[in-house]
Amino acid sequence: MALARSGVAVMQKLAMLLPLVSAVLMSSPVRAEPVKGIDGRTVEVAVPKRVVAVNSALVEILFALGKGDTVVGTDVAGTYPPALEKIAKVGHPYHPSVEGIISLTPDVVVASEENMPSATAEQLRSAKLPVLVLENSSKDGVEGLKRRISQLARLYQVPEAGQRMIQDIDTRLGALQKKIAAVKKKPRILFLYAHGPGEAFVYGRDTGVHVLIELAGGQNAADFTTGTKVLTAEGMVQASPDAIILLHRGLKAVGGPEGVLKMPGVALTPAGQQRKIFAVDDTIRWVGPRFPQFADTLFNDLHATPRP
Amino acid sequence: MPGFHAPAFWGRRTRGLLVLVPLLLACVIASLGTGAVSISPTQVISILFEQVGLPRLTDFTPQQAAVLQAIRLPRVCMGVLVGAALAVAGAALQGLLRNPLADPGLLGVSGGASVAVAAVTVFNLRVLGTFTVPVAAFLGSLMAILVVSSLAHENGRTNVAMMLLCGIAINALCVSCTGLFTYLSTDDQLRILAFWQLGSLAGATWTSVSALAPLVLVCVVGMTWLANPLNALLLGESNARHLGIPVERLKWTIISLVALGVGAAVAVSGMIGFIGLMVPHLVRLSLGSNHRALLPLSTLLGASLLVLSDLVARTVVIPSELPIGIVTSLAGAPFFLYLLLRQRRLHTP
Repeated sequence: MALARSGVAVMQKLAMLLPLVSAVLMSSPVRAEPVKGIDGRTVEVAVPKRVVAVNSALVEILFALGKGDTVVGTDVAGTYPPALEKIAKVGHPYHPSVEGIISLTPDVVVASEENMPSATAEQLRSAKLPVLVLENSSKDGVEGLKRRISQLARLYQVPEAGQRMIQDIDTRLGALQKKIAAVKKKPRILFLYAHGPGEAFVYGRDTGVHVLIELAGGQNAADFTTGTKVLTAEGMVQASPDAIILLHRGLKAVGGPEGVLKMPGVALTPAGQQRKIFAVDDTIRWVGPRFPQFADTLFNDLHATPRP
Repeated sequence: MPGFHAPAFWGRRTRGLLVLVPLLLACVIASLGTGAVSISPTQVISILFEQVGLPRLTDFTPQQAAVLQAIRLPRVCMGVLVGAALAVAGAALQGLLRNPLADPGLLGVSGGASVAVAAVTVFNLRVLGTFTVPVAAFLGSLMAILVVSSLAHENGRTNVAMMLLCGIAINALCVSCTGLFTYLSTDDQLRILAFWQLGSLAGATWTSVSALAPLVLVCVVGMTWLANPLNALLLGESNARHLGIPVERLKWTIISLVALGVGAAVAVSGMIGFIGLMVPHLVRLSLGSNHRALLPLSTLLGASLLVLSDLVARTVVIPSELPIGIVTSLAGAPFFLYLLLRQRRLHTP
């Protein structure tokens, strides 16, 4: 009884202390860390509590940094992590809605260069919202990814978490490098962006797809630098890929590997003859933190012993 | 004879104005107050009051003020200007070509603008910074109209039937040129083109509004000025000529005004279909085809409908938004069909 009473007394004292403690915590100044975007504009936000992130790779970085609960809005393209489903969507990844973003009252908007038209950024800034524009999400492959990770880690003032992410990426890629060195073969890989059996686009070298192919120890069978080209039967035969990759949704849309074999020219390529047709994650157009895993999976798919 | 043509005509225009002026005001106020960021009508008024130094009626957040001033107000202004330009140009062209199907798009306005925008996008031209695309669109539409008009010019006269046919041919040419550029474009460029062709007022800033306003003003005032000659033209070209109307000069003036107003509108907003075709018809179906009523009332109705469409585009999928071209055609086309069918039923015994 007495014990219980003294317990209560202690609790009461603690309860009295609480406002004081929280007041001290609140008043401790949270210094804003200036972070400079690719467009030369610097944002200074004391640790963001609400952020709108346009670009699925950036969203993934935020979640990996343990800051997923600060994401209050994003574009419609992200599929990972599943928690994204419940987050408000501010539109097409390349055409986010200005007022939609503002209505979510974020402390800061972060976006990749390609997902934030400069006019949109200006409109947001004229509504007094800080906008951090980071490098294009496919530029400079993994090096670019690491830079974006450390910039976001700086924005949230968790540089160690950023460092850990980067180390993790290096470790995974190092392990993959050893596996790649052991096979000494660079398969030619072609990426098809398909919406249905009727049509598909081949992606060139200036894309996240290209980064993934290189990381998996392959070479891009597409011989052009920028942009996309419509798939033609002769183009397919000429590219002569050892493997063909599609997005998960692309593979589904064309009717699985069987459907791919029926696409123009595919049956005449080594990939078609050996049925080396694989699906990759839907978000690979934006180089994100899961790229080492994606590359590892792709490597394993490429070099799996064929079933008899 | 003062008041000779008065009763019926004044009645119609006044009636129209009595309906359409409040309609435009209602659309503007509704549009200013509605959107992803909510601002009540009294807050809208308070924010505007504070701008001119009057006391505020109610409290508002700095964020609401910023959204209203920097984003929504220029956007609504642009909606009014673009809608007015498209509708009045449609009305005048239908009168000039004496063809109910005529709309600015038919003379190559949008086709020429598309080609120019596709070209500067694909060749990565940025000589004028953010103004490159609008200026290119404007020049493109101007070029296309000039080509169409001069092809239709024979023996010192403009052949109206020829002009329509040339417009169709030039448009076909423009479509395939745009297609060619689209084929050559990279991913990013393709997206720019696709969004431009769906039309949007999302890029509205005070800079673009102030560039657009004088051009649209000249277009609207000029067209309204030409209402009487346009009425005379309804009697046929030779009759109009006998009435002392300088028909050739009239044609060129109207075509220049269309190029000016619609070219500027297309430049800032991309392609917005159906307003230029539908609005004059709506006015004509209910108030007759006297240009002195048709032109100003089309201007008002076009402005109202575009502001309303933009309101829908901004709000149906909050916090995302639709391109406005989708809204105008999706809502406009069925409504237009309904009106046409009703009209036919009324006139068939």
